[in-house]
Amino acid sequence: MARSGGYVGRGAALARRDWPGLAWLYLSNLVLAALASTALSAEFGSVLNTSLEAQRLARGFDAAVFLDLLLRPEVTPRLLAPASLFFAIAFALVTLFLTPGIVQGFLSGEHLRMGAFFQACGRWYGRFFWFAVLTLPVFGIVLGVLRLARDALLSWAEKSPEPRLYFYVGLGTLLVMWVAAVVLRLWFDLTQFALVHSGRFWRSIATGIRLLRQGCFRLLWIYCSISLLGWLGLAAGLWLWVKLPPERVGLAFLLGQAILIVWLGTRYWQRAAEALWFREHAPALLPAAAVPVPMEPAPGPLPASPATPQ
Amino acid sequence: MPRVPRAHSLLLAAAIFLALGAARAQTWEQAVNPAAVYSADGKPLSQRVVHYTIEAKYNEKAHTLDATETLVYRNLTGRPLDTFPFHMYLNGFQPQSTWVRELHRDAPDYAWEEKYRGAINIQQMTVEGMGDLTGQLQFIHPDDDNADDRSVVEVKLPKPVPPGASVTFHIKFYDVFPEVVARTGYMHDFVMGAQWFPKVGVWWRGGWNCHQFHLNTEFFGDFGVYDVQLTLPQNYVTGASGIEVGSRNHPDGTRTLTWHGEDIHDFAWTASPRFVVAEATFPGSAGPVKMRALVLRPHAAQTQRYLTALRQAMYYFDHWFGPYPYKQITLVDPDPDSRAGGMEYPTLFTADTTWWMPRGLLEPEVVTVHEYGHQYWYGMVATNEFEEAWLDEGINQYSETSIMDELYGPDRSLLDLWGATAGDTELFAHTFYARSPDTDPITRKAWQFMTGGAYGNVTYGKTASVLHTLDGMLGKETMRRALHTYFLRYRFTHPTGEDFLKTVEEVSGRKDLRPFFDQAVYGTQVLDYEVLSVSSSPVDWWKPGGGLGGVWRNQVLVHRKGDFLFPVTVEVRFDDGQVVRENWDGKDRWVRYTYDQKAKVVSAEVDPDHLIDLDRDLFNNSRTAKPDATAARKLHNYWLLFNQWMAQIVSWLI
Repeated sequence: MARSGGYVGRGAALARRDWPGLAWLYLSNLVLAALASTALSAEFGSVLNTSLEAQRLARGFDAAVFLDLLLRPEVTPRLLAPASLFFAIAFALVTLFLTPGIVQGFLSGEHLRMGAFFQACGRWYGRFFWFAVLTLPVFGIVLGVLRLARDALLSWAEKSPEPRLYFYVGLGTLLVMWVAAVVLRLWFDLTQFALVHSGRFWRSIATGIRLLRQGCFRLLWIYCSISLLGWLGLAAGLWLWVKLPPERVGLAFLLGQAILIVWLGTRYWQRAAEALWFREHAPALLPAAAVPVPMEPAPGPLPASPATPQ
Repeated sequence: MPRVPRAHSLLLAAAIFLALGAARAQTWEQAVNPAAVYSADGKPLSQRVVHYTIEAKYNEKAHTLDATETLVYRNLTGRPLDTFPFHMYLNGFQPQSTWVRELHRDAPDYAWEEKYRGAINIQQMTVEGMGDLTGQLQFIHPDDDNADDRSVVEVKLPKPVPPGASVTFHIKFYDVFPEVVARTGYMHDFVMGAQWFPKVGVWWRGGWNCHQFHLNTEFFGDFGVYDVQLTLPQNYVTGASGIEVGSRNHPDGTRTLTWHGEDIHDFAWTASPRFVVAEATFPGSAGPVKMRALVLRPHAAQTQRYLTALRQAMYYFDHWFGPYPYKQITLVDPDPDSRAGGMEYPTLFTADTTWWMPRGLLEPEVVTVHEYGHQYWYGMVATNEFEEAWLDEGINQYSETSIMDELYGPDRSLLDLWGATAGDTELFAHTFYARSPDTDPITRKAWQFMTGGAYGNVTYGKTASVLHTLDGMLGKETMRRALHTYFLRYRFTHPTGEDFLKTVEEVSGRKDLRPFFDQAVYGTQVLDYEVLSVSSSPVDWWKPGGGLGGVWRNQVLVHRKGDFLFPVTVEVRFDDGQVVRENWDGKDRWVRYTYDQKAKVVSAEVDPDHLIDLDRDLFNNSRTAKPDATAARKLHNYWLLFNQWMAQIVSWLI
């Protein structure tokens, strides 16, 4: 069995090979967020573009000036929050649409051409959607129960005269909730892989659970290793951000986008590494897809027996 | 950081010499207890209307207190007195009280819990020469019709106390401290004993002034002497108003501490086994002052931040306004969950911090400077906090913001962290004011403001903005002299708002300030001037090929948007570097300035020196001919990144 480092490294290579999937994700993320942000930008512009006071925001970030700005009647960030949420959900749906193509690419031995990529997206989107509908209550129940336990622990910690206890209990319980969410996420990822691989909806869910039981710690380790790199990238990006001259707005934009690409890429990389693990462990449990996904130019079938590492 | 000049050591020596000389003329009280104040001539600094002697025992398990109080009241009113009202503040923490009613009005979601209940019960009141008057006690409600409010009790004496005579009350009372809802009570093993004893009202302006306890009101008391004996567990570290003059342990594991305070108008104490004590000395111009910091163990790393801020505050107040005559100042770092932080008491105040407070966030410094400032504006200049809260909170906010800006720079005197900055004056004066610019005049009685938010924004923010605007009108030095005079003239008394305003007029020599005071202090007019437009067009625009002459007609239109009349300066800049300043009396609704010249206008700005802090909207004070979208793009960038990030978080779920 390959070491986690092997999966992480090979996952990176796989993610790099299938970079167009990441590009689609990033572009849709950028475009949808830009749509969500336009109105506020216009509101800010109407106040700031011809005011000398705006220099205090351009040549630094004066929080007092920013609060003054938010007090103005023509600036209504609260009204824009629903738009942000709407576009966040839209991006989630776009992600859901693109995921089958990404998964198909990761599971196959070769890079998918665009036609095949979107063919896979269209073919599996319905089932991915319904599976996502099923997963949300699971997330809700598990995290809800953990949240109740967290609240109880925090309530206990609050009674202590030691203020740091509350902080550490809060942090520790958040960590537990995060790990639980990641385990669920791993199950859902494995199920999505199985769905694309076998095409069987309910059986894939059960397969996901069996695979998770088989490789939970290894998968968690892979996931966390890549997450750690993502967090380090984020920290480095933020460090650079603080060092940037405040008036270099264009540079800050590019850096911000780089941070978000790293963040998005981390998730992409995690899926690729998980897919590699899946390719090596799932075939024993699953028959190959009943209907091979056509590829272009020559259909690149799923490995007849993915047990054979490519 | 300012350095204390050597000249102060000479002043210090002189003060000590004078204090030693004064010791020869000790009164009986001073023979029992060492003097708690520096007095150049040995005389009391105040009229000392009251003398409280209290013996109390705190039960740390039940959070209750048993006490006896002896109050000697000197009738200096010039008329016989036969009724005496007493504040019973702890009764404010009861669900039917006026305090809780007002809290519920402002915060309907506030959930009452029994642990928030506080109480003070007078078990017996006797008056020397008049017998037991417990049965005569009656709760009164001078401010509203709330018959359930028990925050003021009145006793009617069988015979009046003649002018110039004294009357002695003996009161046995019992306290139940709440888990701190506001300022007083317990939290974990921390206890703040504030507003904890029956306290007589103030005879002021021809009548008793003893208001009920309201959500937004603070306190008002007569100057006097306090001798307090407090018994607590021996492991508790204690701080209190005045100076500690005695300590004795008891076999039952308790300890009785004795405190003596002079020329103060309230007495507060605090205790916790987790306090770590740090002490230093400030060489004040009246004499050395012991700085005693009681800092909770988890916050011990921030002790030096507290002491440095306190030293800086003491330095500036001493130099700008006058001497601190008490021998000790106690800084208390309260339990962070206690809502007891950021509160002033005579010679003691509570600060505020958290264990993770970053260096770039100057909250401990701001709170320390502010609460120490109350030793002047409340502690010594003891204005009526119920009726004229602006005189202590507002003037103190102005003092705090001035000192913080002086120490750290006006742009970063509150925040300088990770590229973000904020100035104390900008945020805690102007932004506060801009949130409620026209709801209430600053002279409104504290409980009559539209909301609690309006009370805070107007009393603190608007008053400070008014005084900073006076800085611009009169000069900072003149304002400091005015406050210095006001302090020296009215310390240890109860001055009014008019006393303050007249002092400003007198010191500045300006007799034309009334229109400003009428609008800014007594009125609710909003000051808002804006540059409505700037434009340049060829003078000969109508000729075929107009504009070839190269002469431009530049026009600047300035508009008075608010109803506050105020003279303003308008600065117009041209693209050849020329700068023109115009002075407008600001009375009409608008004014247009026209310039025919070869240069084109670049920008126009009202109040280019940024002296009018009272201008509600600083964005419309200027207008540029060409738009510059840098700031808007920057904020758009932040918002875009936030939206992208949020969308990624949501998509992670599916």
